[in-house]
Amino acid sequence: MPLLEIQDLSVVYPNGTQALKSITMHAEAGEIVAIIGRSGAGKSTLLRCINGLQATTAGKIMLDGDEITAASEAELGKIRRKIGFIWQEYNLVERLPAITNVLTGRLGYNPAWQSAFGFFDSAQRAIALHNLERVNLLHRAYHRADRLSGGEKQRVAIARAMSQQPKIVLADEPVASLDPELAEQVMSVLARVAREDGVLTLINIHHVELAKRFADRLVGVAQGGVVFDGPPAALDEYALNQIYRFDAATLRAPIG
Amino acid sequence: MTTEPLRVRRAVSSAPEMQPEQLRSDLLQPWPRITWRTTVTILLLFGVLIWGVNGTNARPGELAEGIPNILDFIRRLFPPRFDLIPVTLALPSFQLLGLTVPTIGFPSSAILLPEVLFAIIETVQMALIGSVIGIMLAAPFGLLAARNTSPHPWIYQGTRMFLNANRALPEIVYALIFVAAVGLGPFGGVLALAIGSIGSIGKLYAEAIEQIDPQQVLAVRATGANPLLTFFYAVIPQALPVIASYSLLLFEGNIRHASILGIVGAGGIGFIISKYMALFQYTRLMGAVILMILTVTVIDRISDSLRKKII
Repeated sequence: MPLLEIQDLSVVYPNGTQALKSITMHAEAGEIVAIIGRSGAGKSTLLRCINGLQATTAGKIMLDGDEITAASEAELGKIRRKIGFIWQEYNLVERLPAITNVLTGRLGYNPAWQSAFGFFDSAQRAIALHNLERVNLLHRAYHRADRLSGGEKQRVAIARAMSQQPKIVLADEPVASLDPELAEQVMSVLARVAREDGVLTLINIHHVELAKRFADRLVGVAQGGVVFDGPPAALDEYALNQIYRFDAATLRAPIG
Repeated sequence: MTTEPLRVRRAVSSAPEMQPEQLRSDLLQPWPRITWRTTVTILLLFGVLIWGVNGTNARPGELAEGIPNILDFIRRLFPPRFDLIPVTLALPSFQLLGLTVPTIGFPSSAILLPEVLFAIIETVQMALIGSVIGIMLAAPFGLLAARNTSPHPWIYQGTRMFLNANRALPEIVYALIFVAAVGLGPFGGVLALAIGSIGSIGKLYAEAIEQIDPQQVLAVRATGANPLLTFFYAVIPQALPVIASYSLLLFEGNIRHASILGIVGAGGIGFIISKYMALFQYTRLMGAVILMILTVTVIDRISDSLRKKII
């Protein structure tokens, strides 16, 4: 059975908008999958469904034997430990130092009463330390998150997600707020740590070139449905048109 | 108005520069680092607490001895008593611009209402008028006391000092002054609330104006708009929800303040409450207190829903 199994997933927002239309896809441990598509195609909704932040209308999501679409809020809490999430705007706790932000990735594992007093045993801290070191930010450990640059913040966020020792990492536009140089750097760090740990990683990304370079597999989403699913080499002009220019005829009409 | 758009950030935190090996072993310590500064701060806090307990003779024993008295007092508050008076359901005829406005309503019918209700209404009126005057007086001070809209650092400092000095005195002290100046009655209370509001609300207005996003102001300035128009188009729209919300909070707070001003003769329910206390009419006191709580609750609810609409 694949690690992630999405079957006929549909989401209709309360205002009637159909965000996702009968999405079916599977992914295995260790894969790096880039989800590409235009703004509003449903990429973010898909990721939010996978960690249970978005209520679904129909279909089901199975992750590592758990049915997310049927889980209660308490069960979701347990399941979410296995899901690392990386946000476009980093969402670090700005007033906490980098190392503490990374340690929050261990909150789901460390006994709550210990965490409340700031106590994490050396084994927990070693995991955080290891991940901070892997993203090359050991020297920033005691710097407050709001003192870090954008690229550093996103690397701390990657370390936080990896400290959960997740089965799957969901990254929602992780490099959209970064300049091309840093985007490249952050993507390579994300791909490297994901491969080292063999973690399934789904990355929503606008930038097709970065997607082709760092992902094993691309999934094209347009108008709430999957219109392409294959290796980067298979992404031809036809597929790109399907993903990005499905309404080109109407766009061109007034001009031509 | 100064053009400086960005607030100065605090200096970069002094993260210790350590050798990687030392840093690693430091990071593996299971307890968070407790610096000598934390230790000293905690000790100082404890010292201050002990100092306070000593100075106030706070002793649990005396509280325990007082419990029977407290219980006896609570017993004597019940059953609450409301003195009802008949109220005509009509507005009496009055003169307006030389014309006689006839009686509006039903002069022949009357209903029974608690007498203290009228003192409570007066309290609310005092709070309302006092708050409105206070807000009008405080608004300019708020502008002058916000770093990003103050015309000059000296004016900024001076306004802050004035607001702090104004805040140092509670409303009841202003009430003592104004009752001496304009005599007994609610008008002295209104003035006390208005003047007493300046310091607290003026400072909050200044904070609200300082919290705005300077980038938006910068963008409007960059279009070539003059400082006044920049203020209207970039500062006010951002600060208004917070300012409106603080103003509602001021009104709510002033109802509570107004209810005590009567004790020094400045009108409202406070006078009646102190009268009942002095005459040992505890059941009537309880009746007044219940009505006051109901009124404050209703007004807080209304104010809450208004605030939600604003934000």
